[in-house]
Parts: sequence; C-alpha cells; structure tokens
Amino acid sequence: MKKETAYLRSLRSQSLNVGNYEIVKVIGKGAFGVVKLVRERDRRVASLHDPRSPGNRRQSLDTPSDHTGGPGENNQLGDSNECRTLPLKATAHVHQLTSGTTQPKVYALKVMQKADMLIGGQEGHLRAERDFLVASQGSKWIVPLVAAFQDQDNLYGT
Amino acid sequence: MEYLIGGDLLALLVKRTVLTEEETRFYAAEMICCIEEAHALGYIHRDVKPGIETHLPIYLLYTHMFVLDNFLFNSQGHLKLCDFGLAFSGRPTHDGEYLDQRRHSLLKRTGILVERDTINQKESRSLVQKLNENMPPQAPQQGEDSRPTSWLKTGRDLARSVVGTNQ
Repeated sequence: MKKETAYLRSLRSQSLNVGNYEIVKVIGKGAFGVVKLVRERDRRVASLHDPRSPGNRRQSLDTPSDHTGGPGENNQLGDSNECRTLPLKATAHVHQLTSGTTQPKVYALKVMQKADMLIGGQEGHLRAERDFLVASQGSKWIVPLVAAFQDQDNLYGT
Repeated sequence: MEYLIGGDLLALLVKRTVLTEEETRFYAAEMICCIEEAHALGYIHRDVKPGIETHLPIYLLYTHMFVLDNFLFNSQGHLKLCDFGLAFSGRPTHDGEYLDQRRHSLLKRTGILVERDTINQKESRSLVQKLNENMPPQAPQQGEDSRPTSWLKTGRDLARSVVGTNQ
C-alpha cells in the first residue's frame, strides 16, 4: 500500500500538465472548446533528461578506458548494459532536439471544459475520439495524438 | 495533436477556386487513404461532409463546405485527417445515451447527490437526444453504416474541386 502511494505520487509529479506548455495563440474554436498552438517549455526537457545525461556521459567515457574491447563487448553485458544504452539513445535524441533543431517543439493543444462536455452529453463522443486517436497511433493519415491529460476543469489533448 | 503547419484543404480550394486535374487526383488519393484508414480501424468519421446544397447562394457555399477543413496539410504537403469529435465505432462506450443512462443508474443506486447537478435524468436524456438530432444529416443512427456516405461526399468534393463550383 505504502509502496503504491509512493509510486502514484511519482507518477503524478512526472505527469504532464498545462504548465508544461506555453500558449502561443488560439488557432481554432468550436463547439468542443478551443485549439491552441502551444510550445513545449524548455524546462520540461531539461528537468526530465538532465539528471540522466551526466551519468551517461561518465559511463560511456569509462567503458573504453576500462575494457579495450570497445562497443562490441559492451553489447554482451546483459541487463545492466541495456539500462546503460537506453539513456544513451535518449540523450542523443534530446541532443538532436536542442541543438539540431533550435526551436522548441510546437503542438496543437485541444482544450475541452469537462462541465460543458457533460452538460452537452458529449461523453460518448469524447471517448470515441480519444480511443480512435489511440488506435490510430503511428498512422500516416491520421493527425497523431501526442499526449492527453486533464486537470480539475479541463481535458487536454496534444 | 501534432501541429500541422500547412492549413487545410478547404483553405486551398478557397484560395485557388479550381484545382488542376493532376492536383485533384493526388488529393483524392490522399483523402481516400485517410478515410480508408479510419474505416480500417473500425471507426466512421461522420464529419466528412461537404453539405453543399445547390440552391445556396455562392457566399454561403464555402461556409457549408465542412469536409475539406478536416483534411490538414503537414509540412511536406501531405494530407492528414483530423477532428474526430463525431467519430463513432458502434461500441456502447462511445454511445452518449448509453453512458448517460449508466451514469444516472449509478447515481441512483449509490444515492450520491452531485452538487450543482440540477439536470435530472429525463432532461439529460432529452438533451442527448436533441444533440443527436443536431448531428449532421449523414451522421447515422447507432448501428447504421455510414461508410458509403463518406465515400459519396468525397466523390462530390472531388468533382467540385475540378469543376470549381457546385455544378
């Protein structure tokens, strides 16, 4: 029980919220609510990945000096090594994000008021939309849903 | 959602009035891919509709062409289908009436009183039904297959893109 609450707390602190995005402008309005153009805040990228990257760098520097085997040997180290290579890829990705493309990521954020949706009997539509977007993940022809989250008053899809 | 930078197909058509045959062929193929993809996943979009009535004055034509503005361009100029606010799969969990019923039976069974919830079951049911009445004409009733309608509308749009008007 205690373990689970700690886990849930960590989930909550990591989870996305509106604060992770900076609103640029409103790009659409409809019966459902508004669609806003948002920019991902740099702070999030930094706080998510920074703790990992210094450790990473150290490890990747250490391995060649300890073993002369190099990358070939690295791959056969098993579980502990898998943990090591995964963050490496992650940092590479972040590196690309921050230096390759200088601009932070922008998304379209759909904001829907929970109260309005319930009053309007939109619950079924919302569920269908959300389930569809999840089902269509990776599709070339459907606008991809990046993340969905909620707070007390609103539902968000980005 | 990913931000698609290229605007929508409707905007393109408004700007250009007429597309060439080659362009139309290309976008037709892409529209078909989009709709086909949704159908393959077991959903119907229900908001793919031109809704142009031939008796409408010209200034109203564009405002009634809803379908094309649900097709957005990405940065490479390819189309993607968006706005699944009316999409339906036929599953009860996607059916407003079913969910409404379930909520009310749950409230009744548990005796929970929701603060400021003044809409009773009867009112709420009529609201949901009214909402269904306000659905676009080609949006089907539950269980009905509207896939043919999607295709009909797409075809009409294509014809319009080439010819330029609603002839």
